[in-house]
Amino acid sequence: MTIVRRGPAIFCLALGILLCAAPCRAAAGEPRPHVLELGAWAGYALPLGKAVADERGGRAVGVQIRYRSPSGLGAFIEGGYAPLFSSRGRIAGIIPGRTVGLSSSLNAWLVTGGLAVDWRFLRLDGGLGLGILSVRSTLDGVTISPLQLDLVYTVAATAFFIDRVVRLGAGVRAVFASSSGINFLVFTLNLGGDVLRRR
Amino acid sequence: MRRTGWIIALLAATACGSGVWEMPVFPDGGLLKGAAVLPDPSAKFLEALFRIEGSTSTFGDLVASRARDGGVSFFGSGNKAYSVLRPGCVDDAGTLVLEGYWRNATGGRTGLIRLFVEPPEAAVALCRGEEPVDPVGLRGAWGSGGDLPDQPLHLAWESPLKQPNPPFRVVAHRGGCRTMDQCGASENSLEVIRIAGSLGADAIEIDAQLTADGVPILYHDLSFSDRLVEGVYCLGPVSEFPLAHVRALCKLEYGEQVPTLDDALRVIVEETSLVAVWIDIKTPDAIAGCVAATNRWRARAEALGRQVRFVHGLYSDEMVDAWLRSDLPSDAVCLVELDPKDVRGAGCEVWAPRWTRGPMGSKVKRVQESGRTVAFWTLDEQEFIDVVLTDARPNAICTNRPGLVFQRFQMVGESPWGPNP
Repeated sequence: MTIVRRGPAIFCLALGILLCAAPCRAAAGEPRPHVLELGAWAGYALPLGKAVADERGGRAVGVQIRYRSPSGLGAFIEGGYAPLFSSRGRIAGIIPGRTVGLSSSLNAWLVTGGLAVDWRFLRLDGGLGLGILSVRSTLDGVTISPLQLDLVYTVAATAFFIDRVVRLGAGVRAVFASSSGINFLVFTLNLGGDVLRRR
Repeated sequence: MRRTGWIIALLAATACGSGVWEMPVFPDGGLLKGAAVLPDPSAKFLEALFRIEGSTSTFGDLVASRARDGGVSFFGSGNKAYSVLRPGCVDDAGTLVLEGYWRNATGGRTGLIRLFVEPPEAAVALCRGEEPVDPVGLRGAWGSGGDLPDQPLHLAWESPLKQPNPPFRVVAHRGGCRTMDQCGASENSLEVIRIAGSLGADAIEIDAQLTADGVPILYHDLSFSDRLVEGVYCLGPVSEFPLAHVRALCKLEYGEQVPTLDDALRVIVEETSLVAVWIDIKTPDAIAGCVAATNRWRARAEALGRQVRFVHGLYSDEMVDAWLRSDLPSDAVCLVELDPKDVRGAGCEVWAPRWTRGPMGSKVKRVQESGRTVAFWTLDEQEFIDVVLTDARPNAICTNRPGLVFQRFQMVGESPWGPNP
């Protein structure tokens, strides 16, 4: 079994743990409010697996809007971008009698939504959504740019250093594209802020 | 909510993966290293039904053997093992040995197998290219994994093979087997086409579609993905990749190139004894290119004295309409997967119903009596293969387990109702 095929399994496992960990009621003391939060993350994407490429990963970014309930259980919608692979070189044997230039790259665009649990300074996300995997490849001056739509699963964990109206933290998210077999981690710095609070 | 979480977590444990399977080989080439090649007609005398004595839990009670392309294969029933062997004459042609691998068709078990032809007089006759006086038997051993064979095995001659007239054909799906069936090569590859005969096939089904620059290639899905290909940049619609990009960016799961239809037809005509190829055309724009390719290789087959039937598969109304609109040679042969009336309407010669529609015995008989052939697809389970063989009596069955269909035909099959050759 390879990690490439385990994406849905890891997603289910994480979602299961996430739901098991969900607080059943608000903590004692002053009841927490309903919150609408805007956030963003930036970091470094690192592909999983043994795929061969000159460069693996790159700077990734994303934005989120999320709702937090008084119990700590919430929901989010997220958009993100991650460069995954790029290669450049010359190749023989493709066009008879010639060595030709070949440069290629693969990037991912993501739109996901899912459930989240906030517990103390930790946040766990489990999401599901659409991935657009974008290839760009130029061989001997001919460029192609195919797109592949895919179902993606995301699992993320974030720890917050500052956890007030403005939140600052660091985390890791795993992204699994189900049929393309493209899986990657993103190590992130997260920034968010409450834009609406209601008791 | 906690209970739901545990259930979802447990479901995660059911996910499983796939791998690339490689056949075991004898170290240093085994006894076949330096052996004399068995004369061409002799392998045919090893074709029969054999009764297994011992090791029936692995190989079954009765196996059917078949000689193709220089090898001899043995096929059991149900989920029992099949064996792919090569013969060779040793000891100054006093001994005829067969060596190769066995494999459990639906599991990961595999190993080496070595058999000797008996009695010795039969081995001597076969190595001279003569028909043996008495029926032959085989005695030897099998082993697990890469271990040398050490479990005794005896195959006693039971009966000759059926020779149906009109003939019944085993059609191997996707060139021989699907990649997920782990038969030792990727689906729709030149390598799987080369081994299709040894897996039990008389004919093969392959999938064809066009690259961005209009070259028909063999590939099943409409998009490249890691389900069937390796290569991080080999991702997206096949129709957007020119052939040069396919060659540069994509490899099939077992490391093979994605072949062009011309590559595949060349191998079928020049390197195998396959008698027919069913080209499942995936998109309407590929019809003209596929027919042009089959015309080229039909001429080559005729020049070589080979009888190969090139059949163009049309799986939908859209494909049938495109076929009828195309300006094609009148002798282009087509197959329709819809209803018999659609086969007649398109002027096609073959009806290929999906097996889930049931055997439809009387309808099959009427189609056969009208001079057309019937090929069911894609049957892999013994229970349903037996029902279709006995109730429908088709001309062919398309399968991912060609050896099983061959063995079942020998056990329960009868000649098709027609058409007469």
